[in-house]
Amino acid sequence: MKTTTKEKMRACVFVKGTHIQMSDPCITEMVASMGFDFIWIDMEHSPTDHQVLVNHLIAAKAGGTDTIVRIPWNDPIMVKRVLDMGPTGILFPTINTVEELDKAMASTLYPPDGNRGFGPIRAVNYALMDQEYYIDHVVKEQMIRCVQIESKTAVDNLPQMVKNPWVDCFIIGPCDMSGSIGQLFKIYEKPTGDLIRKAARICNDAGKSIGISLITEDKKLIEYWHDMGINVISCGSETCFITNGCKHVLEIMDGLENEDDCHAR
Amino acid sequence: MSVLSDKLACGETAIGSHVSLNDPVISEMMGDTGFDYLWIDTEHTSISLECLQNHLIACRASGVSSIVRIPEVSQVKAKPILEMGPDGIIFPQVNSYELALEAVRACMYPPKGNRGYGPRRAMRFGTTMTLDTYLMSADKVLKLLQFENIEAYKDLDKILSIEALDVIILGPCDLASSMGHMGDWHHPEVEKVVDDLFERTHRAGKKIGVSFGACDASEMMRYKRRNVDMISIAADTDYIVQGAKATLKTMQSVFC
Repeated sequence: MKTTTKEKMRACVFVKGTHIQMSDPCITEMVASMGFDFIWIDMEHSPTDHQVLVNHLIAAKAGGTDTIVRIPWNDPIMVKRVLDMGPTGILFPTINTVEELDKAMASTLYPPDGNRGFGPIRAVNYALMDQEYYIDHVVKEQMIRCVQIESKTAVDNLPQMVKNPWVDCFIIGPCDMSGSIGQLFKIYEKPTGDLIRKAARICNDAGKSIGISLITEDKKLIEYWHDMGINVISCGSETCFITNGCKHVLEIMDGLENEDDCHAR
Repeated sequence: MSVLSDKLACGETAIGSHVSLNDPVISEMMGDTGFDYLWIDTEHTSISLECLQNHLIACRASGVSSIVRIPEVSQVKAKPILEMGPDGIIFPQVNSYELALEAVRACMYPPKGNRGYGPRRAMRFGTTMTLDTYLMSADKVLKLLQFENIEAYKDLDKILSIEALDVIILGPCDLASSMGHMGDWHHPEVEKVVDDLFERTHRAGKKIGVSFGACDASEMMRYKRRNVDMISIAADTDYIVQGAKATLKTMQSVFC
């Protein structure tokens, strides 16, 4: 059996992901069949709504890859609807304190562990899955729970947060992290680097996975984060794969056009 | 290879059901239930091309084979659907040898057929399939032709001689209607043609299936006795209506 993303996160080994922001489920099926461990489907910054989301989840299953859905905010109402569609995992943006973390984890768990309301649909294979199996095994043992650490406050509180047993991975949001110390977008400069390095060390010491979400395709930049002790890297998105592909093709054609122009002269 | 083509190759009867609603969740759900294949209909339904592609993705998600019925024998209509990569394509009202030939040729690249080149999802966008592996299997997409008009009977032997034809699908309702027995597909004259159709199809080494709406065991037995190779029964809408009716009846028996 293939090692799941959750098992890899728990073992703190390298985990590879990428982002999906557009609406066509074909994109997800395509990307899901290429070898990433997980696909990060974004509902925080993209136009993806619930109807589109369920089609993406089906497509990721077709392609054979785990799914982690980033919800727009730490809100139990949002968590419920997404989890009932049965993604592999969920990701909470901007978790700054132990209280916020506790609230987030509780919203993913049924009583007595948490306060999630009961009504899974696709999550229980449309009632084809035994409900007790879902509650005892899927929710408690298979569901991935990630939270984003994207401010100095969150890093300050991280030593307490890593004690929460339900979190599979703490994921750095480098841009917002830099913004939280007045260094917006200066993510490769020392102040932000030091802060993220500190977060990585806290997670590494606690035996917790630490991740980062990046858009770059630059090998050196990816290595920079990996060398810092970050083991979960979600990198690139279909939008940049398209624009980069376009740029590459255009570059070739622009080159030919210039050659033609030279010959004409 | 799909579940459906495996079963056909082994001589086992493949069991399927019809999809007529838009939501791809239906295909994932029905696939998870355990059918061998789903017959997604675009002849009598509002399922659009975009919707269809989502159904095909959902079929793959649940591991069920997908066959798509298109509205008519038309190379233009078959093309975008073949590019989406279903496991098979069903042509309705194939009433002559010429139409049968046109249908199978639309599914194959030259020299065997006249399919234009432009596969998309059919070759998984180049992710898990190379062009070579795609081309090796492309012409093998299941070609299913519906026999549902007595007009086709005169050309039957010629139709069955077409090498690329995989399955004849009997449409008992329309066949009976075309013989002047609308709604009476058990009429002896219709039965006689159906018996002969099964016998000649099997003798020609081809597979034969049947598609109908009612989930009726005695009706199914009629085709089991004829060694049917694939049988498509009932649709998503039937399951919803029947389930709703049964629930309502129980509630009425308790409360009314």
